[in-house]
Amino acid sequence: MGLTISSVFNRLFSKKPMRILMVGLDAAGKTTILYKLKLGEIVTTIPTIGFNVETVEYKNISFTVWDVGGQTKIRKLWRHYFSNTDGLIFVVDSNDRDRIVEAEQELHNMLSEEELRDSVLLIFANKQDLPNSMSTAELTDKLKLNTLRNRKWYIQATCATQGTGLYEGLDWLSNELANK
Amino acid sequence: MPSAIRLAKRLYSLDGFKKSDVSRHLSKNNDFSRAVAEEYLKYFDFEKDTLDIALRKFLKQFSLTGETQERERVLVHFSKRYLDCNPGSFNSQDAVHTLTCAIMLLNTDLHGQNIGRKMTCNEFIENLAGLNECENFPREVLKQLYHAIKNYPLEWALDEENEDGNGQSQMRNNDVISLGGNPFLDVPISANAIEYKKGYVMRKCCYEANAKRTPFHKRGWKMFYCTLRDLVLYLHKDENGFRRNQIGGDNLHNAIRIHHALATKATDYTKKQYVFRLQTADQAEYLFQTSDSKELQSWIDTINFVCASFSAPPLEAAVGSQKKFQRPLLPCSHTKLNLREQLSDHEERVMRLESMLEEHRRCPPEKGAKSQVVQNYKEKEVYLNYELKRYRTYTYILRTKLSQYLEMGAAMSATMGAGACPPGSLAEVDEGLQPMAAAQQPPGLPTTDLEQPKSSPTSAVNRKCPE
Repeated sequence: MGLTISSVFNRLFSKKPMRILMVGLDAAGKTTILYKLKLGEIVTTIPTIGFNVETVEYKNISFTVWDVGGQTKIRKLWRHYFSNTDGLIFVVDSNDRDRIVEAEQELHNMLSEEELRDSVLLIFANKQDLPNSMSTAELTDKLKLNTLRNRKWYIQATCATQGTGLYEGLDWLSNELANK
Repeated sequence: MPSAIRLAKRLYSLDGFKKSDVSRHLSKNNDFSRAVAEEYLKYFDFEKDTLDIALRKFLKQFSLTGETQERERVLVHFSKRYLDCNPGSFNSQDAVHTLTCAIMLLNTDLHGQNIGRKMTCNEFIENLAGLNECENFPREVLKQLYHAIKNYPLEWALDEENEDGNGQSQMRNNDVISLGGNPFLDVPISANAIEYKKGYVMRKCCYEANAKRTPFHKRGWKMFYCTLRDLVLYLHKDENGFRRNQIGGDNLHNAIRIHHALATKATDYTKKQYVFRLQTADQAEYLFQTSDSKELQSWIDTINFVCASFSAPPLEAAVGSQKKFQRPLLPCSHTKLNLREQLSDHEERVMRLESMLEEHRRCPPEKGAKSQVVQNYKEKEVYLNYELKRYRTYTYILRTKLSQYLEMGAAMSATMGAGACPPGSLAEVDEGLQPMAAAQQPPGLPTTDLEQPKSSPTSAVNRKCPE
């Protein structure tokens, strides 16, 4: 009986954890995004030395977002986290036309990881406030998102410095998680 | 490179730099930064240190911040220096680098908050399998490292007077009241916001955010003392509530964000008189009753004028694999454009929306199309029609307003401020905007244009609502 009550209580009040890995070329805006998401928290936690990771609670879900960085030799170290990853956030600088091909390769590299096959993909098309930025439609094309099979994806225009679009992206993630 | 050597020396001795400043000079992806980093690391002696001791030594002096790629780049130089001091300790510089990053990751995993299940020693070892140039690292070494990190977390090198140096903390000064949910949509406490209009009104909620019908028991009419300040419509119980709020006493749960909103006469609502409808960016909808037809027009014009003047350009709609129709994102931040630029932006948008609507109507879904396709089609049509109406209203009000200022400016210079109001339609619109103009001048207009005619009907503002 006691067990039942506590399990009901847990289901009602505990936050559902969701592990997110965040990837993207450098200077795409990952750190800013992590930082801005953190603003939603009333209690500010002391950062732990090591790599960037933040937990954001939103809509009864506790998002733990790891900044994995980009295409590097240490990618293999993240294997440990792949199997329990619910979602990927890929951050792209919408204004960086020179490196969009590199970004596309980076993204598809990550998606080819076998253990990430069930994770949903949220793309933040960042720096949309800059005048020459690529549109979400254009980025869909350039990142070859329409070639993805059996993968739920969503590309959200953002302006991380102002926080615009970030939580709208999390809205989508939380809906996807609820439907899982 | 002598300049790199010099800079490295100054960075190491903190000659004119704070600890938190050092990182950014070492972590950039260019040759100079790499040269500085290499020189900087030469100041460290890691001979006969285990990797975690060496890392601790380094981190005591150097505050490792920035994004993952930047941290990694600095650690490449650390790894090189470590191997130079301890030749043969590991198979290659890359292997040292991988292991160093693994230690950093382990530290976050074991000591970070809310990380979830911690990594075990075996998992740590397993995760590093084959990464010592395709060989395994010695198991004993990994075990020792694991326990060292577990028992003694890595520590930050902080500035004496404590961080704050990265300039990212400005946002926190911007006080907001959290209503739960998206913190960027919270209502700002803006003591210095500009007030455009105030007065008693009756309000009825029809739809909540995302066009969700308001529950029946919450749909009743209620009286409020309403103040429009910047892009927020505050609803207080009474004038005292308004004052209480100014000193921070009243709660702000009755505040409506009106960026990208549209106010229109609710001609279809026949149960009451002098009612206008307010539709907001999040697709909520309200009815407001005012005291008379003059007040009605005044509220409508003031709201639309404020919305038209300050709403930022929308961000493009999201695109998703589900192919659902998505609306563009309407940011709540203020526009950076001045009034004239804002007007031409709206005009452009009207033209674009017109051609989009035309295009949309030209290709309706085929007969027997999937229900989702039909649904999307309908939704998009409703959306385009509404947006067109909204931006037409915006352009109309801004155009009227601007030409009015111009005429007023001309009249003023001719008659030295006799306050002559142009007759006809312009005068009517002008009435509606009195409280706004009295409170503030819109951006981008010279001050002299804003001298007010004397016939300001501010008395109407404080008049109570009927019933």
